[in-house]
Amino acid sequence: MTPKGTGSEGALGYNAALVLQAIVQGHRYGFEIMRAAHLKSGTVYPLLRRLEAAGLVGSEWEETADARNEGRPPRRYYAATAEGRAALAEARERVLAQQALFGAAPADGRG
Amino acid sequence: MRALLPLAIARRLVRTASRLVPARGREDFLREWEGELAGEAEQGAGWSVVGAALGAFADARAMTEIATRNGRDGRTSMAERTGAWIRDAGIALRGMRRTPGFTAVAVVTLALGIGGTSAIWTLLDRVVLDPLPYPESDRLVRLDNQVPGVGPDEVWALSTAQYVYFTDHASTLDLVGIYQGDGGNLVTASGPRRVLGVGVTASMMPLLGARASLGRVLLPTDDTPSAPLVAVLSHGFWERAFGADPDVAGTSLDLNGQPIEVVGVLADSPRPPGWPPSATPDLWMALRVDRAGVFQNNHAFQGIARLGPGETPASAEAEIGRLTARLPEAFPQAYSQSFFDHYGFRTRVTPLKESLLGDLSAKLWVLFGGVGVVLLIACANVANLFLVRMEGRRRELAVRSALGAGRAALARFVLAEGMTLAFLGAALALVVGFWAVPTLTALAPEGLARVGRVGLSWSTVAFTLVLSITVGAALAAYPLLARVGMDAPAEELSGAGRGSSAGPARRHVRSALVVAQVALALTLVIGSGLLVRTLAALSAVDVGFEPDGVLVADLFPDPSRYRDPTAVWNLQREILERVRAIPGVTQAGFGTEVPVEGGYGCWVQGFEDETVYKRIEDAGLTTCAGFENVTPGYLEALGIPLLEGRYLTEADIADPDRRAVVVSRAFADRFWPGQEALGQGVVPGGRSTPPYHHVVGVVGDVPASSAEGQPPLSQTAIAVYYPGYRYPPATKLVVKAAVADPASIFPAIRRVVSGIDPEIPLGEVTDMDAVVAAASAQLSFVSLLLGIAAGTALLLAAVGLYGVVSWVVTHRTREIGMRMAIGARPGEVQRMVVGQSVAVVVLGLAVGVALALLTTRVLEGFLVGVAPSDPVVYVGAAGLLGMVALAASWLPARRASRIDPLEALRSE
Repeated sequence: MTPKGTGSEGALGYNAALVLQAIVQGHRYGFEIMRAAHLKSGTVYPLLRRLEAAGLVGSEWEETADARNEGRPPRRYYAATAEGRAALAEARERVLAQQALFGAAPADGRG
Repeated sequence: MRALLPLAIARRLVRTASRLVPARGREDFLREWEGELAGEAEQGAGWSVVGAALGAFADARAMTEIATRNGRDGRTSMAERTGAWIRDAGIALRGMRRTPGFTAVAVVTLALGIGGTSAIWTLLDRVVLDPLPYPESDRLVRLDNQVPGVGPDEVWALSTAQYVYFTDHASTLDLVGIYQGDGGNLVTASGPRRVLGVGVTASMMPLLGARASLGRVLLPTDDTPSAPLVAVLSHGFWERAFGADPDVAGTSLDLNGQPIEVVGVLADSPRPPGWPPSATPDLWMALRVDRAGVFQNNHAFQGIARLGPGETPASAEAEIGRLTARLPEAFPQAYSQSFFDHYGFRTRVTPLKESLLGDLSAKLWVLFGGVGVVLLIACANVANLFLVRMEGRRRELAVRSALGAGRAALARFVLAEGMTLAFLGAALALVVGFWAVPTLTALAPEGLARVGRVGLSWSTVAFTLVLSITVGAALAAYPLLARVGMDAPAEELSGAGRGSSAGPARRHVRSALVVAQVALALTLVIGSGLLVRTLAALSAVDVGFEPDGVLVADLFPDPSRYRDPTAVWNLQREILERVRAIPGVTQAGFGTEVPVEGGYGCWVQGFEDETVYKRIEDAGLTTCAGFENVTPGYLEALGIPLLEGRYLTEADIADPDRRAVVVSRAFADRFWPGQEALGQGVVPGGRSTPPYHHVVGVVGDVPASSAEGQPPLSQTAIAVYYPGYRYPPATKLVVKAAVADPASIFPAIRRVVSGIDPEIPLGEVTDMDAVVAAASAQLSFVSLLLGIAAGTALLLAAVGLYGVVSWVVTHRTREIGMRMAIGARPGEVQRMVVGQSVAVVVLGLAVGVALALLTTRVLEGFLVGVAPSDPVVYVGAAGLLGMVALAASWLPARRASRIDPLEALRSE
């Protein structure tokens, strides 16, 4: 069972890697990830679900006290799991290698 | 302001998308999106949120896809959901183990409530709701005749004329059958054997669904006067008396001196409708009604029929009414128009089950209501306990909520605990029931129709299961509805939420539960008290004779050998002489009926004084009387007091020309009011058939058997006692013994009889005390059960009150400590605690009295000598409950007064 976004060999797809990278770099809420990865919500959220189903990311609700202080409802924030980081490391190497082949990063890749 | 419209639209989109999300994840989905949108709007995102919100649809699709991969239909798989329930139940069980006190009280309380209800349900199910053991029993009806001219509740059986006429002319009835008990003496190798037989028309076989396991059943060809005498054996009799001999068909039996051929053995041992289990016939014989012969006004046959397709008892009764009106025309020797006019003779058609149960079903439904009340009280108790417990776990629930457990998960948690408690209670109830139900049914009077079949059945288990689920859900309902622990988890976790559990709303609910318990318990105790007073009234009824130490035994002398009165009298005299010689026996005599059990029947009397007839007719009565054939010693043995004149003597019997007769007070008052009874002339058989007997004595009254629906011991027999040489022969032996165990002389009696004539079988011996008790046996049984229910209710209400007051004391330990620290004395504290519960209890009693006044009306039909609003019972019950409640609240109050103020102030 290969979740979409992880490629036919089980490797991370390009967008999935972008999302993971954004998360690892500290963009933890859905809309933040969207902005950091320059992807639409219709792309990011399904990817988040699949990554979570695959065990590459985990999610938690933010502290209600914190949210209350800011006068808004609590948000769900995401973090990469160990497997997620490993998959990301593998993807980064691949992407960098691909970039070297083409000499430029594709605008939106297919994994 | 500007940001509001795009946000509103965005939220609308997200809501729509959420409908595509599997139910399980919908809540989280919404929360996440709402959170993000709100955050964006906060930072002034403007219309871009709408575009972002469109992505929710893709998100929903992805979630559905993932869920489909996990489960079959896009929702959480059954396995997952069951797993969640099991986990929660396991946690609940572990929690219960940690608090054994709570668990024990809750489980036992529920067991009492659920168990009692299930037990009575079992009785109801088997006795009232189950169909009769005959094919198409819902189409079977009882046929009998109301004769208001004789008495308001007088009911007669059918005559053969009616049987023939209805069979031939009733189009609303498929089949009509009549039957009559017919005992006999069977000659066997080991001596004479008394057998119970029943004479039936051949139509009874298909009506009862009788099948033969050997040979054949009775056929219409057996049912004609010219057919040879045949019999069919019941299965049980065949096994007992013939050793299950496979060759019994075709053999001949000597019954009452006549040869009769056995043509078959039934597959089981059926009973004619209305016969008790002890009267299961051994032999079934054909009545052989002679259609061509002379018919008589002889109503001695019980009758049933099966309704035709689409017919109702009402339509059948209407047709039967028309047919009955033509009876004088069809059978002029048996019926005359004046007979109908005079007696108001009317044939009625009643569904068979209804006629068999009588008012028993009403009694059982009342009982069911009673145990239902106990269940309500039990649930109120446990609900209170449960509420307290859930509040104690607010912290735990808050943590779960903070960790993301949605409302559904929390509800499941609370429900699981409720159900686990209920199931534990039900399990305990079933275990107790397994033992208790057979014990209870052993106590049940024999007449309780079909109770012999009652045991713990799958239907009971199913009912108990459904009941437990309902109770468990109900228990969980209050904490769920009150959203215990689900609001403001943050406050909960920080410890700030403690105070609100004693909030006024919750306190009121708790008090309301106690008021309800007290009210319900009072109702039950009052109902019980009314029945107890009824039983007391019944047992105080002067039955008019002395049943202590009186034995009754039926003799069955062969009518072919004891044909004329002289032979019968010689036999009787010899038996009496020898029986009176048995040590311990003080009196003995023969009669045809005994009080309470015997109905005495209607035997038309003729009077020498012609004015009696006019007087009776004007009063709308008949010259019917309960007829008894007696020998000297009968009245004396029963202890029926002599009011005037003398008892019958041997000379009266030995010399038929003396023509003496003894009448009861009621007889004399009815026919010769205000006149001297002694010397009046009376003879059985109707108008002017001298020679008359003359009254030589007047004796006290005794009760006859009560008609259905009448309180026991309420019918006085209009009795006339003729000397024993009149037909039918008096064969009931009544013996008065002054020994500790009267039954011990029975073998001696048997020896006397067999010593005189070894071929006379002796029937079962009855104890008159038992006969009198049996009259109110059903009521006693129902009262016993209701009493148990009331006692349980009282106990539960007391426990409930104790629990609540105890909780209040614990909860207000600090407050009480402070009060005592500033000088309140223990006595004052006790009074304060008790005083608060007094208000609740008094309110409960008031509500209870009102409730009882409304509901005890259903008992009206069963009460004797006491009104449903009897003040003595009400005051007594309220007093009892009040004292119990006081005691229940005093114990925790005492504990409160012992609180060490320093400890209390230190404690959290």
